[in-house]
Amino acid sequence: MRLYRGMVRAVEYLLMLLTGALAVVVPTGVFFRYVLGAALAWGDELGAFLLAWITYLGGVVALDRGGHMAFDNLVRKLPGLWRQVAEAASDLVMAAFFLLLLWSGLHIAVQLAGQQAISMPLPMGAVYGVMPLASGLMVWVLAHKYATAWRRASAGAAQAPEVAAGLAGGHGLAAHGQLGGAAVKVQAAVEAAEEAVGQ
Amino acid sequence: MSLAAGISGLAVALLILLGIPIGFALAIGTLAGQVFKGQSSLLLLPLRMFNGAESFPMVAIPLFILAGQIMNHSGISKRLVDFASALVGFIRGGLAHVSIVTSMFFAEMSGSAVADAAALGTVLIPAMSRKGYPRAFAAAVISSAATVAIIIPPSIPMILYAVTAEVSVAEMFIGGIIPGILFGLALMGVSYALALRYRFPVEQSFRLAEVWRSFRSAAWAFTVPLIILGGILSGVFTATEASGVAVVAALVVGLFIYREYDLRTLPKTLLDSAIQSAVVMVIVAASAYMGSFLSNEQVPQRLAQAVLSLSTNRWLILGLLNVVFLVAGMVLHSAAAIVMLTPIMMPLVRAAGIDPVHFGIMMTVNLGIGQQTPPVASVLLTTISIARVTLAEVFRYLPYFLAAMVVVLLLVTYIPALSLGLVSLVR
Repeated sequence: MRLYRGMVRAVEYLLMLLTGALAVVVPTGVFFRYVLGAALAWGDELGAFLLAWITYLGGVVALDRGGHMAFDNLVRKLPGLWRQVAEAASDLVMAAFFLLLLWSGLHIAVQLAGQQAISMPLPMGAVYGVMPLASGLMVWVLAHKYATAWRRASAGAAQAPEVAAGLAGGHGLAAHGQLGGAAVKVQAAVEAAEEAVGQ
Repeated sequence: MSLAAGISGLAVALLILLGIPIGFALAIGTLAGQVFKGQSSLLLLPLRMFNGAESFPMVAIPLFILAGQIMNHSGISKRLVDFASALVGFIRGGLAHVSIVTSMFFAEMSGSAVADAAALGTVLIPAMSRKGYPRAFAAAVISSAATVAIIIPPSIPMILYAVTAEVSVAEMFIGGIIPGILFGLALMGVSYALALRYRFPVEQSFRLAEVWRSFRSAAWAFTVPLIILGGILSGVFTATEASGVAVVAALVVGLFIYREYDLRTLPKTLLDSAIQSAVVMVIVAASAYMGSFLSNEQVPQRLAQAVLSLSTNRWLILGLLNVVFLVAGMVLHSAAAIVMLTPIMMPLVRAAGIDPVHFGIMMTVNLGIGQQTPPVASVLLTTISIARVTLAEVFRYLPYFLAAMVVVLLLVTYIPALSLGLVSLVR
């Protein structure tokens, strides 16, 4: 739990840095072009890379906060249990997609490790590294949601006076035992991993 | 339409209905289509998703959001409201006009209607309520007025359209000026009529000295839009460069001139801007991925042929596109609708001889209306939660404003000179 919060915090700090860097790089480019009369060779490329990093790391935080643009009007109108099934199904599809992106992103990052960016000495493997990094973290976000719900459900209602709205689906699911043994094992593994790394 | 494209379209629709975030639904659906085609080049997925987000013109999105938020926290709203009061407060329904005019000024700094609705709604809805306006009317005014933000430059939807359709961001910005002013005037007309009917009060009498005094106090707030518009209109800056300069200018005004900006809030502002842009950019990247798949499948080209075989009448096609966008705007966020529909529509638009800038302005105005129409009505829902009124209450007044917006949309659609008049001066 603490490790998870720490990860989100770290990504948030990184986003502040990246956006701050963007706000410095672009005006610096303007300064070089109009005041010094010599365009900054790496300004545009670095700006574009920063935006891609902001996009996917921002995607991690948005997933944690439930801030992505989605059409959930239909799912929210479903009766209780069906709604939980729909939420679990959509989380599973997303998790599968992120795992695929993690795997293929790692391949790409390794393949491009030796290649350099056009205008600066930056290995493209590291630049593309945001894809596996962000997709791995998004799997963690999804897994954590269910791990927390499971922990709360098994700790009993007394210890869970306040369940965040976003967790309600997972909470109910775990409580109803709808997910079956496999998911429970995943939850346990996530918790164990979080605690192991935390120590 | 090819079977693979059909499968991927269907998958996207189902995944979106299941509640999966739109960006991920687009990417997963595209992947499904590719797998069906036997193009099992999974390694392309991260490349395409990264390349879709890696765009220098789009860098303007986080920077315009950032500049707008810094201005917001620098005490400019108060000064702009004062200036607008001196300017239009004498008209019956004064505060409604003040809201609309302030929103038009505000639109020159921020590119997001939701942000405008939040910033102005928290100030002006309580003020209108105190003066005896119904809260639901106040919400209807603020919500409709906030839509001007995406029509008057800078505008994030316009940046998205320009990059996707490969037209100049600067031309889109210039093209939005007259339709934006028209939009504001139409809303003021509706407010005036409602004010007469419900006997809303006048705010203050018109005095030129007061206009001048409040203008001088607000003048610095206008430096940012001046830099953006002046720089882009004169061709000195690109839109992205203007966004960077706008951030610096906003910080200078906030820190050294008004001295109301608290630097300690900067990290949070940076984070908010990052997340707001990320949420849009994930959809942009996934749409680029889907767009390249669909054009490999010849979908946009075939759509163009199919429509043109029915009719080559440009005005009929524009009308048809408007209906499509009005429906799309009800169920999709404007940003999502733009990046999803633009690549599919462009071959048709070009083949029918429609100017892409004119089309883009029309689409922006149209999707502006979509921000006010449930179920997905980002601006309206933001505003009613600030005003603490229900949807049903707002709909006592909102239809009049919606009708005015539709009239403006028709004018923009069928009088291309409204969008292209100023653009032709710089082309």
